[in-house]
Amino acid sequence: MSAAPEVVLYKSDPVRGKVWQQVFAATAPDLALRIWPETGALEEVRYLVAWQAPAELLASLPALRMLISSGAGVDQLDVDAVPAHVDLMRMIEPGIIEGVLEYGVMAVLAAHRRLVDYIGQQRAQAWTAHPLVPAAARRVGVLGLGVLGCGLLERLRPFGFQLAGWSRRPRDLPGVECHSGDAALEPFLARCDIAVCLLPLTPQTQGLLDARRLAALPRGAWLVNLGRGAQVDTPALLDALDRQHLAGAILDVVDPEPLPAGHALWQHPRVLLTPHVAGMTRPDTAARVVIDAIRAHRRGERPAGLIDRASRY
Amino acid sequence: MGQVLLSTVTLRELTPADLPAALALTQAENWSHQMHDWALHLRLGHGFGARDTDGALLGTAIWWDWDGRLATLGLVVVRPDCQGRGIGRRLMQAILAETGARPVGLVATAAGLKLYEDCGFVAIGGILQCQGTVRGRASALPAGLRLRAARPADRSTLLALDAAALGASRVALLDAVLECGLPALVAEGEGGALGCALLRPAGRGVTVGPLIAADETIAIALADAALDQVEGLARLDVPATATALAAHLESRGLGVVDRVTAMLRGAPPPVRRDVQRFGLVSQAFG
Repeated sequence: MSAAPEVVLYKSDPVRGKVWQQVFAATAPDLALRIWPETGALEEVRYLVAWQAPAELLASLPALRMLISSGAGVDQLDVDAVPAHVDLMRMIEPGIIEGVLEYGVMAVLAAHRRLVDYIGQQRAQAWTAHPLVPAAARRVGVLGLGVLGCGLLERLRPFGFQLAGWSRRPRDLPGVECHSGDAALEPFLARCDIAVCLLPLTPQTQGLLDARRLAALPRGAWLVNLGRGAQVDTPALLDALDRQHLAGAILDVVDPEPLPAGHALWQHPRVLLTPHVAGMTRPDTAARVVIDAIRAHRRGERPAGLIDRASRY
Repeated sequence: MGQVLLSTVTLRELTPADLPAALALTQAENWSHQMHDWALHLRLGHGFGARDTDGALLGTAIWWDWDGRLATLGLVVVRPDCQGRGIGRRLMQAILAETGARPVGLVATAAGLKLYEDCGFVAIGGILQCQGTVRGRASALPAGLRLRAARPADRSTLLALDAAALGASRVALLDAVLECGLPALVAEGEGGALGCALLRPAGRGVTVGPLIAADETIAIALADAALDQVEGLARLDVPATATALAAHLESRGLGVVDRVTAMLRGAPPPVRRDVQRFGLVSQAFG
């Protein structure tokens, strides 16, 4: 590790710059981050992170190899002012959506493959195999057909589940049996072996999944809640689990949050609980994304977000 | 309640523990905010609470940083029996000490105009609060325009549209709206995306915003389709210059219930000219 660190110039919000400096210092000794206006020798700058890069600034950076737009697009940049040999990249931060979809797929597969049973069996040192239900025989239903609900159904399609969705207003999604309106909710739930809640929290959805609705789910069904805790009547859920009407629940959201010590959900053997982390983002994510992108670029790879200069995207 | 003296009022950072008291403040003003609205606004911003010697919350103000290029501030509220004593001014000073060199935008009620002018804000336009119970159905689309539900893969397009119209990128805000569980719509023409409309539960109904479009005709088509996704109460905060949009909203049951003033302090960040903002996420967020 004798090579001099590659110089990265950051010309954006100084408050965020402080966070970036910490992340770079802690995780990227191979990169030297300089925060505008403390640029040091401009001819050493190889990478520039900026929202806008005036032609004069670009002209003062002879060694520049890549310009990274600190926004989600590059529309604010005068692309024509960027020399042709300088690569252009927009930041692609994995946002809340990707996190929630990832979690949703994980939870559906965990329910489908009886992960909670096997976790319990492992603790009990029981080597017991359960029959495998083919995905084509498993009915998965998503409550709430917003961007997340539709996105999850899209991600689940390749597995071959029988997919359905419920929303307040009618929707039409290819390959998905769509139900809508209050009257259709219980019939919809009755066809869900795995029901995933991705509803918005509104006065209408507060306590929506009450004892009657949970009873509408078929015996042995799973409930996955990625919406809001207040949409589920927790005592009714615990009762349905204890009566073994429901096989289990995977909950990333509960009411209240954080869940108080001693709450029955903590210890319930049929509940997999996570502390509202499905869509978590961190303030330092952007810095990490840029570090990875610069390293990939130095290895001669095409980092995600690299812009095709001809089409701009 | 005895007289509260400004000298005994202290400012402290607003935290989630203050939410019930903060909600009571806006309810006293008959604002439509529910707990989930307050929680979202506080989670994405930084705010101050004015307190009396017993720690009771007398007033609030919050600001949001949009990528270092723009700040907006809002939820400036002072308890009715404590108004006119300089508490709002102290809250504004605390906020403006934090926003630094950023241009700052806000939406002012008539009651707040004088205070904001004193703080260096200049009126830049009117905002119509259009609200009501949705009726009717969307009209036919203009020729050549397609509308479709946004998919997760559209995220960067939506972020870019919003950033282009505002002059600053609002990743955390748009992510929070996109993950709320309601649909978002994208308008497309031959050359790609021409606008978008996001829906979010707000107050006792649904707010359509941001509403971004290349022109007012596209904005009307997007708003129209968005309202088809709403059952009950809906709201849009639209620029007063968008008279055709406001008239169309009226025909869908959303009358103008208030007219407020958009204000700015400092030079606005550069925006792209080919898209415009036709609907705010909220008056506070902008």
